[in-house]
Amino acid sequence: MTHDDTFRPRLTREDSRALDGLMPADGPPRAGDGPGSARERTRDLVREALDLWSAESRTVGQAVDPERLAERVLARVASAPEGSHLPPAPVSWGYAAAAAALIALGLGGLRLARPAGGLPAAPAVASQLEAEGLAVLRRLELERLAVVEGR
Amino acid sequence: MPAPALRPVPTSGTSRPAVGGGGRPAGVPDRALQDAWVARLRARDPEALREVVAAFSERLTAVVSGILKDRDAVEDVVQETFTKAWYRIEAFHGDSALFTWLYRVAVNGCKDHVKHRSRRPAGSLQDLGPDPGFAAPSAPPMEGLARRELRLAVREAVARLPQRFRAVLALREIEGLPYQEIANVLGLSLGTVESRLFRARQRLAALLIRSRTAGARGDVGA
Repeated sequence: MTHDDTFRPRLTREDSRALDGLMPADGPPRAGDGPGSARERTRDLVREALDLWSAESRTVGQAVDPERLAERVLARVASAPEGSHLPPAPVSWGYAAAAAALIALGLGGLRLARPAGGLPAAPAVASQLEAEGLAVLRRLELERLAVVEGR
Repeated sequence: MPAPALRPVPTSGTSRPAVGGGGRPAGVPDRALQDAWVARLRARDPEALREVVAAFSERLTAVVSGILKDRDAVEDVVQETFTKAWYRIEAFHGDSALFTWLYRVAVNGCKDHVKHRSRRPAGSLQDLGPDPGFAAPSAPPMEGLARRELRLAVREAVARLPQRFRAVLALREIEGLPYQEIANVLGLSLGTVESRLFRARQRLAALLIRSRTAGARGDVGA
């Protein structure tokens, strides 16, 4: 790698595909794409960097002791009773606070939007609905009796 | 303008398989064996778990270490992945290979870790330093100075990429998964996978060149 301030990145989609072993089927070379061009040097730099990074990550993987890891996993699952599951994800207090704020805003909005005379209280509405329901049921029962008695 | 047709060309000097097709990467057990492991895990066979850990721990650890900046967390996330495999195997419907599902669980574990990790500043150089407790990759003793500088610059540049970019890069570059398999693991379209790979590499190139330019100015000033 040489230090050169005039070297600018020019990685293109085609370069990315080429790094994956794919090339455009009909891709004519562009001007300045020859050996040693900025585009080629950028591609080589990215290739070298990714090879280094991959090798380093694989080294981390190779350092794992699978038997020890398996023992730790088995010890963990053995310590929990059969049928149990992983603990649930921790509550997101941010979401909880936002939900509480929304509910409070909604309730406040309802209070403000209530007409001057006010809405009937909930128990009154319930008893009215109940009375109407009973009336309908009574009427249905009377009609059924009329049918049974042949009237 | 339609995208040009692509044809595979031989890769040189790397172990990455060609992108096309949906074949499994080299070294991954065949589908029948993976399906047998799934059945045995459902039957709560601890030996099956041992075999799955032996088969996939190295690969998963490599990928997770590529995604996470926090080296301390790599082993925890990998252990959590296998623990989830044990508990949640019923949720695995078999529409993909076991190893694809394990990668998905591991990548989601990385996301969860980032979401809930302690409040260290993102991109902190503390995250990039070697961890004495767990698998610190050390530089080869005879490595040249330029190579060592590049290695450090690469580590720092990759750490500065957004996690979604590191995930596609890790699955492609470290694990060598084809685009289709990466799309299956991450729940993305093929086009998004290709686009993220391109943007990740483009940003990586820019970061590396910026770092090199800064280094050159430092050298001149020293």
